[in-house]
Amino acid sequence: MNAPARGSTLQRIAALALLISLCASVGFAVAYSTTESAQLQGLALGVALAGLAVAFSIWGTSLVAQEQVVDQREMASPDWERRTAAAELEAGTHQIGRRHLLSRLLGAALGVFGVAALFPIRSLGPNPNPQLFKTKWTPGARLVGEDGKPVRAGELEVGSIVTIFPEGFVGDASSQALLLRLAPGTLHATPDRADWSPQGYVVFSKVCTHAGCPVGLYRQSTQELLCPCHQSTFNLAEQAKPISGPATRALPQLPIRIAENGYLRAQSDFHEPVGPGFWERGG
Amino acid sequence: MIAKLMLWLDDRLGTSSFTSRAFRKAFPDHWSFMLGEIALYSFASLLATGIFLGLLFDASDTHQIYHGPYAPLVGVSVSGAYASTMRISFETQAGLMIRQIHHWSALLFCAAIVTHMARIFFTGAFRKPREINWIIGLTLLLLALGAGFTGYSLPDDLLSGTGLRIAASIAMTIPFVGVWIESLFFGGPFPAPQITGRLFFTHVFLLPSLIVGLIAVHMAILWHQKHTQFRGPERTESNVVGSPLWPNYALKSLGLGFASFAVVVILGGFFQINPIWQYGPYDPSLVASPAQPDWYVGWLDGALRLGLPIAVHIFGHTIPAAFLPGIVFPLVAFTLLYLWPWIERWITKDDRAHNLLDMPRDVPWRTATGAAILAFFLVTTLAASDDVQARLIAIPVETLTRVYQGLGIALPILAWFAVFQLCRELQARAIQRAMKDPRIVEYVRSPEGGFDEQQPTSVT
Amino acid sequence: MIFVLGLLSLVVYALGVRAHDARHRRPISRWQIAFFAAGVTVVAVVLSPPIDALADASFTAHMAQHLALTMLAAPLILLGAPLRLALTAPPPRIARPIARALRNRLVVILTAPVLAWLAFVGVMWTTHLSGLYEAALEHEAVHIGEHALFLATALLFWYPIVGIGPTTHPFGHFARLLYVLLVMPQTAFLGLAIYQSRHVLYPHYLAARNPFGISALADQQAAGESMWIAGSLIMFVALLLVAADWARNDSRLAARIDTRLEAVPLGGSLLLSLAIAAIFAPSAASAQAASNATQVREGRNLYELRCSSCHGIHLRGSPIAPPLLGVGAATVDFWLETGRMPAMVPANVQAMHEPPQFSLEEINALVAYVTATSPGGPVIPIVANFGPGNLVRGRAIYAANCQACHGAMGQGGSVGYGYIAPPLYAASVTQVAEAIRTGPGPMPRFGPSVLSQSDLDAVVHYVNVLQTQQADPGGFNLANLGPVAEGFVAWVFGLGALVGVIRLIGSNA
Repeated sequence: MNAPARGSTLQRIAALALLISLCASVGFAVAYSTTESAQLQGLALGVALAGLAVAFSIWGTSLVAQEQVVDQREMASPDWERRTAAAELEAGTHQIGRRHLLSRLLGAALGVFGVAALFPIRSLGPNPNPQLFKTKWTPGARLVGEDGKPVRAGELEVGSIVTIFPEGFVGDASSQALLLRLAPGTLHATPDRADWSPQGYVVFSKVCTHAGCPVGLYRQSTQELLCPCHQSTFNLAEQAKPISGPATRALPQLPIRIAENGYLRAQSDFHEPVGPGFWERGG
Repeated sequence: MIAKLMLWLDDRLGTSSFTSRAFRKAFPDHWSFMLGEIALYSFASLLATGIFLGLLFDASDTHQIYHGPYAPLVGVSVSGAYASTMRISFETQAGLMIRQIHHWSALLFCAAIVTHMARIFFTGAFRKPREINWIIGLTLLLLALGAGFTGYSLPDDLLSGTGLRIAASIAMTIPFVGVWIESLFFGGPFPAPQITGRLFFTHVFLLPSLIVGLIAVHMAILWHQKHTQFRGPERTESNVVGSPLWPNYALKSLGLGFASFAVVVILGGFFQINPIWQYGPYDPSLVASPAQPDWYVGWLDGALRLGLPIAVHIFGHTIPAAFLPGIVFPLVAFTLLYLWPWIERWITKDDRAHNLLDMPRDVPWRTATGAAILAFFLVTTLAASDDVQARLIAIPVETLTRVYQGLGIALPILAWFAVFQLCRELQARAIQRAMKDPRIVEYVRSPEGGFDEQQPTSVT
Repeated sequence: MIFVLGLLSLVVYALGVRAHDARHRRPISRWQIAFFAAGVTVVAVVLSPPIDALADASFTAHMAQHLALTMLAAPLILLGAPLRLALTAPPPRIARPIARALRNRLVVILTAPVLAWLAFVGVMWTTHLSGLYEAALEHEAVHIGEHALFLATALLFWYPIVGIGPTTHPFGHFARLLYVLLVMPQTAFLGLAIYQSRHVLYPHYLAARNPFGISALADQQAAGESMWIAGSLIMFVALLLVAADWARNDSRLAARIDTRLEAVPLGGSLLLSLAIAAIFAPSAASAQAASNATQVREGRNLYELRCSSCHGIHLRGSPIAPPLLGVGAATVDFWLETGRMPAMVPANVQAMHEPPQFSLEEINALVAYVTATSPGGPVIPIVANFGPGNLVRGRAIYAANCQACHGAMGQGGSVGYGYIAPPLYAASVTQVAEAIRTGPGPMPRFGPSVLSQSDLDAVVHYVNVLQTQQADPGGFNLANLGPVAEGFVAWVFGLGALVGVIRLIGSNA
């Protein structure tokens, strides 16, 4: 039990806390009305709440009689009650179950209803499959930058990088791609992609093949792309093959050509789905 | 006056039979029993601030031109969601503070739940008859994670939009139905404009109503079963000793409640969180650092970073590399946690009800296992920020990835053995202390039939 | 060395505990041992070489070090009641002389609370505002002495507050309250004074390379801010604890403190003081390469003296350094002005922004020489036109091209393989433009056909705004680390504070 002397000191502290809280609440009202500073508003409101916290805590721990009470626990119900309940359940269930044909039909009806009720979930979204396998890149589409201006050969020096889209589809999430100019002789193109990268200009999909983030980081001295989300690294000289991190597939490459007037144009869409993997994607 | 109110209620609802016992109900006072209350009060703060924000937020993907006071974004086309969040932050009195309080409360909410869950685990409070509450509690944790994720994705900023992209990609890794699950959840292949409204509906209605309902059931069960307690004088399996609810425990709980509010308000006023104006509006072709989710999703992002680059190809179909860390790992982990009361029963063959708690050191194998699980989650959470660490301590991020991959295997094993050993030593020291305490005596039956006192030779 | 001392003190303490437990009924409480161990650990960690190195380079880190020593380690050590142990552990024939020594006239005078208070405050003010701090930064011996002084005065200061152990100065509750209350404005004012200073107080930090990538002035402001805030916070907590103690206990506090007091997260102050405040960008004047014959000649002399050993005769390069043919004035100017060249680090380590090693005239001369010998390459860009109109476009360009590596707030980021895109706070506007045009190191280059002159003006304008007017209306920006730091703060400050609260209002049984 607390000695009275201690109690009155604590009471004074609690009183002080409440007084401070009161002033702080007023302060918050003032701060709200006169300032835009979140710090001042937060300070006033915080002190107001803290004062109440102090008062309640002191009150609950020291200013009321500290006693312990003992409750008895009720364990599970007594045996006779459990038996009664079981018997009642059984009696009622038996009446239902006796009618075999009905109960079987009921089970079937409820079951099929349950399955049928799930069908409207299909309305929540479209069939994703067609969109996953193509982008907005078409044969002959011009490469344009984020400002919509078409890109010409000769505008990019070795070591530069630009985000590009097909003309008319600036900002399209699946079509986003990176145009880079690699140092001459560094690209090891496989025979089937021999004409995909004129004059060292290469285009790769910007959508990471691991979890779909834009592969925004470029180390031009080693010609490697890095995705910031999970640190997958792609080696451009080897056609954007992943050399580090959790990605398993190279970034898809867009075949391009240099058209008349020097504009860069796509030869076709990507030859594989862009972005992260999924079940239907195949090998 | 309150007494009059109580009588008024009793006339209509017959409440006095309940209140007369409720006011004297015993609540054990151990400090670790109040961790759940911290979660409860953070949730209360989320509700209060959330109502304010929900009334001001515009859950629309329709783009508009920003014309607010933040100069670098004037004239930029942004979604209604982003614009309204900017308005709340810059043009609404106390808007920024309340928005920040809301976000800090969410971080605290999840932290408190995890700590509370750890206490339940390590003291064995999930055992019969409390398995139901364990299930409910774990579900509440998952709902809280979901509410947090949907919540911070509402403003449609670059950081959270990147997170949504990753979530969509993870969904797509599920065999057979992955792309369908993604399309049905998001309303189409990423980025689908429907997601903004769906996030709002989920975050503001679906999840909170589930959380509120489950919290109510959680506490009703707790009330009915009565709280557990540690061993101590006069405490048995069939009673519970504690402070009476009224006034003692109620006052202390209110004190804790106001302290929780004070903490989140101070955090919300003084510590900037989620500065969406710095990140800018979401654009699927842009990305920036920081590229981390909120801490309570960090374990998933870290797992993705640590995942091995191995994809499986079966008969012309692909199971991508992200499937294992993104789907299998959480599924296995949470299934294990859900089933834990039954796993423990299967191991210990203990079917009895327990209302007395274990000291963690008295169940070394369970404490060690819990520590190992926590260690694994800790490694994955830390791995989520490996690029930030790489910048700060100038070690290549690839090296750090290898280190964390190794730690992911080694640390849980080390933790298991170290904690097991620690528990054994603590047990031994407790026994030694008890044996030296002159207040503890053992009574031994003598052959003549009487009782002899002696110093204890063991402690049970 | 510090580890040895720490280990030694732990061993002595442990021996003392054993001796005490052997001869007394009531063993030393676990908490007391934990406090002492924690205090010694804090001292050892905080004074360990890696932290010391960090403190050498950053005022804020140094401030955190001192705060940890004086406001965390000292009270923790005292909560371990080492002096009381020294009296109760040894056998009487050793304990008695110790007790007599404690009653010695000199000791009594020196440990008077008033003197302890004055000493603590006095040492704090004089070391920071005199040449002592700078001297400590420059000379290791002075530094060790400074730390010892801090620790000693802190121990003396906290002794009457903690109130455990033998004392010849009865110190009532109200006095203790006043004692702590009066010291609060001291830390606040000193911290504020440091924060508001418009020039760097300790030249040592101007030359040091800041690990957080901020200017020395910003670092100093952060340090002042953390002293003011952390110091006040800790003292406020101490105030609360003293008040609570007064409330709970009117006789000896010791036994109660052992079990009731839990470490309120004083460790949070460490992180608080690591929070970075507003950013300033000291702008260096840009080098205008005006080529004339004398400049070229001077440049050639300098080149042959300082550069040719790696970069070869006539800029031709060598096995250990690339040729400088046609690199352009912007490249030369950038690498020299940002102090990355002449190379002070091995070739496989990324060079970071340092104070330049050449004077402005020398840099101009070298630029003139390189451009005269091998013309071509990007010229030194001139950025002007910082109107409001191009700020928005600048942000858009920054978002599209820069923020993936350099971060949304210009805080920098890892770009893999040990490379870092550095924070943008230290570079001048010309240096930023030069980097954009020349693509130094792993950074890609953005030529005029990718970013026009007006694009360049716009993005440099935005970077300048990031450097000087970063918008942080929400409060501390936690070093722009994002959700990582936010999670840390939520756990350490948020949950930590509340666990402290429930330890206070809950019971331990």
